[in-house]
Amino acid sequence: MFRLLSMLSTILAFLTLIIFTAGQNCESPQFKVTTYSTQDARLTTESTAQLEFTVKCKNGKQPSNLYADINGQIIPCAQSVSSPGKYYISSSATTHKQLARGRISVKLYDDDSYSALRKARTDDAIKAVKPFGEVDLIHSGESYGPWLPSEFVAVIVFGAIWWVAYRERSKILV
Amino acid sequence: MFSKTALILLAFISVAYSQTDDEESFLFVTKQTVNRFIVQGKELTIKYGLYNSGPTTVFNVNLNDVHSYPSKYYELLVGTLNPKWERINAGTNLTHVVVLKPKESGISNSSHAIVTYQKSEKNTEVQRTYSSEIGDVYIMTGREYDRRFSSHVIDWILFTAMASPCIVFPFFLWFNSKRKYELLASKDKTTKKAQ
Repeated sequence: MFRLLSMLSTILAFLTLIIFTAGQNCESPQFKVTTYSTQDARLTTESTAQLEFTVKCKNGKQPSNLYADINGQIIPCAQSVSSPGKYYISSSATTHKQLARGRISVKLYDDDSYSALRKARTDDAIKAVKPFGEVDLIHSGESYGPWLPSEFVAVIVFGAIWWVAYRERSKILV
Repeated sequence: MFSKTALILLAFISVAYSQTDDEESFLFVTKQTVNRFIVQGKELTIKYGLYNSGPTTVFNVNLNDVHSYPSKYYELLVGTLNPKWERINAGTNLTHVVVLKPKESGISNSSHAIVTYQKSEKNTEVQRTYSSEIGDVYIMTGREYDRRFSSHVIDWILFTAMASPCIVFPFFLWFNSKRKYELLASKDKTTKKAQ
């Protein structure tokens, strides 16, 4: 009788443990991302980029903490106080050229994978840690202004008109 | 002699007190804009830098800058003016970027952002610190910025439209007389040949 009870209690404890841990982890997260990156290079001195994303988990739980891998450095993601569920990653580059054009993949880690990452000592172990997810930062490049200044075009056009007129005039006057 | 020892003792005490402060972390927050010019109706990017100096992690960091940019004068495009981080490890350098759009021009002042954090997870005593401030900035109107930086294509098109009567009218006069003259010259040639 006692043995049955102890066995039942261990099974129950095991089950609650499974349920507890299953509830904590976020399974197969889905990300909805909006990116922003500097568009005008003449208005700003540095290029900045920002990702705003929401996470949807299969079991409805929200990860408590997320960390992002920016340029090799792992930094925590900011969360919004007024609208929970939104996470922000920001990065800034000191010159406009440093922010690479195109698609940059940013790895995300949650609490478990982050502690695994911190425990890893060798490069291989670091690479072996499975990230929580990946989001893409899309940078479409900055504009430095019009490619050909309009004054240049105007000078060429009016100069051509003047030259044609001068040629005809010299034909008459000669 | 007595004052000298007292001075040395005072020096030791002050050093000892400053040593104990090193064991706690302090969060430095800078606030700056990366814009060269601040233009009404164009993006204004504010960059907050958080640096955790010191050997320990800080917890429950909350940055509040909503009072600097009221929604009446600034429109929030990207980011949040009230972010929070659950933990910032020692030695980490974070940036948070917010993009706003000023609705009005003129001189504007934005004050410090208020940052609160806890030095330990259990101790709920909240430490409050302030970021650096940008101070008075001049927000120029869209027209002023365009005068210097826009591509002026429309201006040139208008100029061409206004200048074209001066060019086209004499051109037609010349063209008509040239055609008439050439017609006459070819007629002369044919009559001369016939003769």
